Amino acid sequence: MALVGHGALILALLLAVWAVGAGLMAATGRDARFARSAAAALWGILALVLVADAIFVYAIITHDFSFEVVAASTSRSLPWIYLITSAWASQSGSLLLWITILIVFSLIALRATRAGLGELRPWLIAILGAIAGFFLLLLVVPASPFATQIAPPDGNGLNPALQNPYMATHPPALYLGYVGLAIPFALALAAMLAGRVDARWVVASRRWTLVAWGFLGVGMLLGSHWAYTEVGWGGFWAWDPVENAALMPWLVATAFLHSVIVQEKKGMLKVWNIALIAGAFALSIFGTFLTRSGILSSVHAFVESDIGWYFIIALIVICGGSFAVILWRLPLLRADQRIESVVSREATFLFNNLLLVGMAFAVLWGVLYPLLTEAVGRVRETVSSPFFEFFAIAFGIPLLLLMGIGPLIAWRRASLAQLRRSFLWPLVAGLVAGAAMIAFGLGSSWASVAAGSVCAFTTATIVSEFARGTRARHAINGEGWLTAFGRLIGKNRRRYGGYVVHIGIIVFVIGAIGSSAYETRAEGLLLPGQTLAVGDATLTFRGVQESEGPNYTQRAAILDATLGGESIGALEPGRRSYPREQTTSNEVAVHTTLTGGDLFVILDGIRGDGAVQVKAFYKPLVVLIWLSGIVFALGVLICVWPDQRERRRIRRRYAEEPLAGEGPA
Amino acid sequence: MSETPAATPQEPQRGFRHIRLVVALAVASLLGTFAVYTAFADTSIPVLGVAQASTGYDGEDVRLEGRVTEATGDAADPQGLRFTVRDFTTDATIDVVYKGSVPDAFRVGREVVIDGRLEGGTLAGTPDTLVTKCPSKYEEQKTTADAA
Amino acid sequence: MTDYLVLAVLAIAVVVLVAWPLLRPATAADRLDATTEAQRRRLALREERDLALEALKELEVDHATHHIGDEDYAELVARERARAAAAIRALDRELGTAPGDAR
Repeated sequence: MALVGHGALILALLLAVWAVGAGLMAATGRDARFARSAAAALWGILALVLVADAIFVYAIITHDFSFEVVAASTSRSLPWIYLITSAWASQSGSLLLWITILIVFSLIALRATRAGLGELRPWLIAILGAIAGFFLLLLVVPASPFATQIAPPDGNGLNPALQNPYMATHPPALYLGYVGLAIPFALALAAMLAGRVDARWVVASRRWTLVAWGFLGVGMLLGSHWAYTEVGWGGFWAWDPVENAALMPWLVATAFLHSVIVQEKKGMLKVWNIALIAGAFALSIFGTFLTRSGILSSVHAFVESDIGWYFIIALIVICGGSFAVILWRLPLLRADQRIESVVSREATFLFNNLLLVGMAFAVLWGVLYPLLTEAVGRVRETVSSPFFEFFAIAFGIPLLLLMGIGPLIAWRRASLAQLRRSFLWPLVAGLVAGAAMIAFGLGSSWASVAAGSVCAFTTATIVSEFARGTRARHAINGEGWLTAFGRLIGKNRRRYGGYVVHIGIIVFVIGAIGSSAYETRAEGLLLPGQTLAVGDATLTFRGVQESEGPNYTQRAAILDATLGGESIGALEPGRRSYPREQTTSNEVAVHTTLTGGDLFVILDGIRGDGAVQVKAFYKPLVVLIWLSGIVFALGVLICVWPDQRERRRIRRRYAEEPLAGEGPA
Repeated sequence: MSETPAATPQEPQRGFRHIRLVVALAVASLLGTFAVYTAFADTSIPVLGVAQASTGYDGEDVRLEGRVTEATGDAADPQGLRFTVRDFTTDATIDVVYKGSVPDAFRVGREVVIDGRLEGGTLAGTPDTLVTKCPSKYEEQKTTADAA
Repeated sequence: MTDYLVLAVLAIAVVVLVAWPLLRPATAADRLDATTEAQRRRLALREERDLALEALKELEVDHATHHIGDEDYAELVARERARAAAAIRALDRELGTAPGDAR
């Protein structure tokens, strides 16, 4: 069985090599038969990878511990749902998921190249084949899921922190995001190689980027929620390298999604856009590498794990290759127009890009800081949350501001009179919000007051955008208010979907400010009957309760809680101990209030004499963080929904100009 | 200001120079913020092995890495958890006093990372900074996330 | 043993799969043409035309929603119209047709 799986992956690797070779033959030798053969190779890879997947999953659910990976990450007592999620808890299992998603995405992307992109097909197959080949190589040589051993009677089990329902959604969502970024990258590179510098690749890439970016965003939030409820230190984001790994490509992809608008509308920033999408993909590979190589926990571990070198070489090839191709095509990539004024929408997009890329760079710097200091011969040094928070604030507040300014400024340039008209009320809203925050005693953190005012300003501009658009449709087309509002969004999905995403970001920022800058915390050692006060709440310790789960035993502290004098029942933070895995895990207790705040209680320890060490937080508005994910996803959905008008326009343009390679290849 | 429509073609050129200046200034201010902050804000701390930490870091804030050899007491107690970490390669050891949350995987034999201040050969741990390194039996990703 | 047999079958299947398109001799229909310089130029002009037309639509919306004033609107509309017209004229020249024949 293991042999068939391993052999299938080897065959798939050979097919990937063939896809690259035949794709290049088709592209340079201009022979469609090779393009067909290369495409067939991709389908073959899909079939073989599915065979490998099936064998791997079968081994997991039948507890075949002769598979090293299965023994290392599952056990007989593991509930079935976590058996499934353990498929991507291991290094090789997650790489198997990577390649599966990649090959499915690749085949969908190939189908989507019909109108006006046929010429790109051979190049696209070659590039996608190369990416698939890289991951297949990892799966065949350094990280085989099919390595076998003499089967032990039971496996090691799964890390308790990963025995959580979020493991069913959080890693797959992130992987869909990481892998999704491969497609726009491949499209961009294929377009450059084929000499097709028109905006067609941008249109095709934009949707893929949106989907990948949406999954990355949702995946990060799911991860935050997992960390908040399961890892349980009282926060949702720790600027951990693994989290930063997802944040960096997300930031760069955000920059890309904004600057492609400028290319599509104005024919500018062509080189910049290719660089951004290459950067986003390189960072997604870097992210996979960070989570999978252990480079940051210890350089020594990294040198010993040979998978690191594969990734380093891949990164060099991606960056070097993209740079070389851009340089080669530079003469074709002249901008059609130029930015006319600093006060124009295209200029705000440019500044937004600088800030986003700056932020991604700062995060990268922080992530690599230990390696950089070591590389220059100093003692290894590390930076932590304050470093990242500084840049999140220093670059984030101007970004929020631009989010409010951009939509109200016209393309090309804006006149002073218009600006005064557009910005008067939003500015008033911002100032009032800031003053109100100070008046209500929230002036303790100036960054929060600044961010709060900017959020109010930006919300006001977005609301005014919806209002103006609806009013204009109502006035011009005589539509009813509701119809006008619906059609406004339906006919300009990207613009108004984008605004919805912006609202999601604002909701997130408000939640993040509320729950971090204005949290209250308390901790104490409690004997039965003793009380701990935190903010408006009190916790009275009653006693310790023991219970049995399927593969753990739990001891929980029973705490009677009141909030503002009213009883809200008992909170039961606990600690579970997993005998098979030989570890314990923290089970936090969370009570969500009607105002969206959380009373969050951690049991830090149970003393021999029955006293418990308890840590409690009150986190206002934290629910907004999770709510923002729904708004964000809704906005992304509005943006990616197929736009028939755009599709017709593209079809028409390429029907007028029948290009090479448009036949039924 | 252009007086005649015929003069408009020059306008983009002028505006373009203008924007180039502003963009250059924006990039410069981003880089400036970055350089000034990293140079002057004291946000980084050295990451030391036990043997390294025993040589002249007294009174400094450090992040210490090592293997736990013995542990007594309880982090929930006022006296705190006391444990000893040993260097990965030499026999050097440092005693640690720590209060706050103890990661799920903490026990004798585990590799740990902890922030704190070195005082007279003992590390006074900063509460809630104790982290265990991924034990090799899990290849999973996220144990370090307890670091807040 | 069965493992090897299964693998052998898989191997033969994939070889057949990728070799199939190459087995028959190339015909004229199998030739992939490259985009010519002229096509690229025309494509760029069509894109320019579509961009200008889209910009006109957007200007209309921006004007209706009071994002740009009447004066700016008039000037920018004139410019985008001129851009679209220039692109269409250049396209006609490329195609060597009289203005009336242009699609």
